[in-house]
Amino acid sequence: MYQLKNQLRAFRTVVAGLVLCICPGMAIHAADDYLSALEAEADETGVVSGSVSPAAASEDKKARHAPASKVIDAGLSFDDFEEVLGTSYSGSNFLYLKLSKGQRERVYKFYQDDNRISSVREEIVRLLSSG
Amino acid sequence: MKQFITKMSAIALLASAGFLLNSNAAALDVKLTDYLAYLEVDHDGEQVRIQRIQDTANVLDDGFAKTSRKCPPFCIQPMKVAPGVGTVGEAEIFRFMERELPDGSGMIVDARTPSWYNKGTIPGSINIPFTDFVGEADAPETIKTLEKLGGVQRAEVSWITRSFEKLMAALGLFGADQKTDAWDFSNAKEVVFWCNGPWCGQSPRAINGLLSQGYPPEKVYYYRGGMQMWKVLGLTVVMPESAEAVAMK
Repeated sequence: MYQLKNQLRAFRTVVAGLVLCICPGMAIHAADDYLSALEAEADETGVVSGSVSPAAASEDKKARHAPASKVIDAGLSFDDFEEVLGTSYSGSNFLYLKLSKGQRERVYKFYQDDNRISSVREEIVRLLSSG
Repeated sequence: MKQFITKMSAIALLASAGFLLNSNAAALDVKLTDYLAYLEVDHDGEQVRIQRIQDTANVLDDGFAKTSRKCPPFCIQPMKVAPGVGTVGEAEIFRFMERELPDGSGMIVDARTPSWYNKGTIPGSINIPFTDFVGEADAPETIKTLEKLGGVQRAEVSWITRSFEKLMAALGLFGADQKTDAWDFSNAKEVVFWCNGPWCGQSPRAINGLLSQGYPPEKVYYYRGGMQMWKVLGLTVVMPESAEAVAMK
């Protein structure tokens, strides 16, 4: 009986040793497999279409839009928007003040879509001329 | 007569300013959300505008148009990646880009390997591959990564101090739950992780690796949609500088 217990203990030690040797190896193998699958899939996936370089995006923006100094800060509240218009863009503000309350709200809504001062000014003029 | 003069003055004023009357040409038809047409983020020191493709007939024609990949390893990820970690969508990302990115309290991490990152990334993201999060606690890349996210390595802490901190952490006092034996994450950034989309396991691995170092889960977010949804919505993607450098060689 004592001999059998000893044999069982030895068997358990061998099994535990094997598990300790094999498991980390399996984990590393699994990680390697995952990385190789990722790399293979990346090769298969071409460059993402429509990508632009940051510099190009910046240039493109400059080409289509006014420089930063010609842009009203984004995300202003209605009151702050009116304040900025009054302090920094007096010409546009002069025309803006001629608009009705509803029209001014429309200008503010427009600014939320496009914060370039040139566009905002055009919208003010459009509303003014439409009566 | 007075009215006529006023009208003429107004017309002259408008004409002299050279204004165009067709103002709607500049407005975007395909906005980001009902309250936001576009936004701008800093990417590698350049301001990049994030907006959607305006062509309403546009469809995907690149690798992200693919519907099926072998699973494993490309299995569909659950909505909740780990306890305490929030899952976010595009609108939350936009808000994060407007608030946490500019003030430096947040970071957006593209957790993909460089071979994916170099094909195009979400503006405002920095690339820290998931492999940098899954190493041993004392591995140099793990330490470097945790420091990038605002973690501060601690000098040896006595067991009395540590026991007190653990007690305080259990009680939710003094921000003690932001500290581990080795790190102080009190001023760590809020981090959004993303990878290729719902079929990608790279950001979930990064998140779980980060949490295993004791990073507070409430400061971690998972953008499950990733590049897949970013592309489906026609949002701006930038080519990293490193990829350009490779292409030029």
